[in-house]
Amino acid sequence: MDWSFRPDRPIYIQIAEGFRTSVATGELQPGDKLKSTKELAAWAGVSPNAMERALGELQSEGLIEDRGPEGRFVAGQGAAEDIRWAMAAQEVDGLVKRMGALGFGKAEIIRLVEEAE
Amino acid sequence: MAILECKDLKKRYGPTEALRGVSFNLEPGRITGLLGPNGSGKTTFIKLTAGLLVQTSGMLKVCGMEPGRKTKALVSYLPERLDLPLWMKVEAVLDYFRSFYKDFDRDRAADMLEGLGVPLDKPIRALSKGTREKVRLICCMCRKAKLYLLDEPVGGVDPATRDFILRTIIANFDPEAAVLISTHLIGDVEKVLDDVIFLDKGLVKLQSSVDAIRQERGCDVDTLFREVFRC
Repeated sequence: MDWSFRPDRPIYIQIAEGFRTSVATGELQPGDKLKSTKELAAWAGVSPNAMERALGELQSEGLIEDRGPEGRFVAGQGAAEDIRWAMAAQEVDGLVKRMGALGFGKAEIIRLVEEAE
Repeated sequence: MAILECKDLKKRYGPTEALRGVSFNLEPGRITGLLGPNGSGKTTFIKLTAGLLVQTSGMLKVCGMEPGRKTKALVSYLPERLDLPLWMKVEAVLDYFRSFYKDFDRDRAADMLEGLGVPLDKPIRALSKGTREKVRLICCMCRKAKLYLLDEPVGGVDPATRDFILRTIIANFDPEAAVLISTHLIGDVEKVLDDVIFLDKGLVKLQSSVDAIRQERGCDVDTLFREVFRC
């Protein structure tokens, strides 16, 4: 994971985004056990409070499961698939908008995508 | 209960007013940056809190007590300048800390130093500047204190040493203790801070959480600092 942070948003939001990307790309696998909040914070070089807040958000989204004394785990395949599709939708949304700004319609985007490597 | 409380705290050195009425609290489980340009009063504030100076007027309490013998047992202070005798061997420094502070975990400190490859049987004099700083920081962070006062912990060290210092501060995090880090190198330290206090010419110019600054102003603390203290 890349732990460089942009200046314009709270760090905990960016940590959560980093985890979502890792789950979507498979860098983190369903069922993987996460290290402790403090270890993760030291790894990312951030405040343990920011790390805890990020993990709390991911837990409320269902991407991470808290199994009490056993620790925290990456949730099952379903949650990983959901986040993969949600991120794909976001990427496509962005692409359509940026191409729109350049004057390309959907049909042209599809043709260009088909021609792309 | 707040770990540190101060109200209208003033410190004067002869005609010079170093602190001109400072008020804020530090809560447990938070890492706070005390930020300001040179001469803004950061070190004076930290020395008052460490019990090395006495205020001219105003209130200052650590865990409900005025700084003194009892609070020194609860406060772990990292001075801006290295305070270890150069002739002393590293292992003797560890013994020295254990005899001074009941809350010092000598085994943990020795493990950390060995993990870094620091020779325990060499005198401080034989170590590089960065290694001396690491030894001193480990001594500071291996106490189980209620308040950690770190005066410019990343000043003048290389990036690898800086990362080690920041990671050691994070790894030592205790939800029942407060950490106060003074620095003017904000960009290096911002990621580990929960809250910031801007000191300007002996007064608190701003107190905020880092999240609130990023959320509400859309910029990082470093950028805000440069705006507030533009020359």
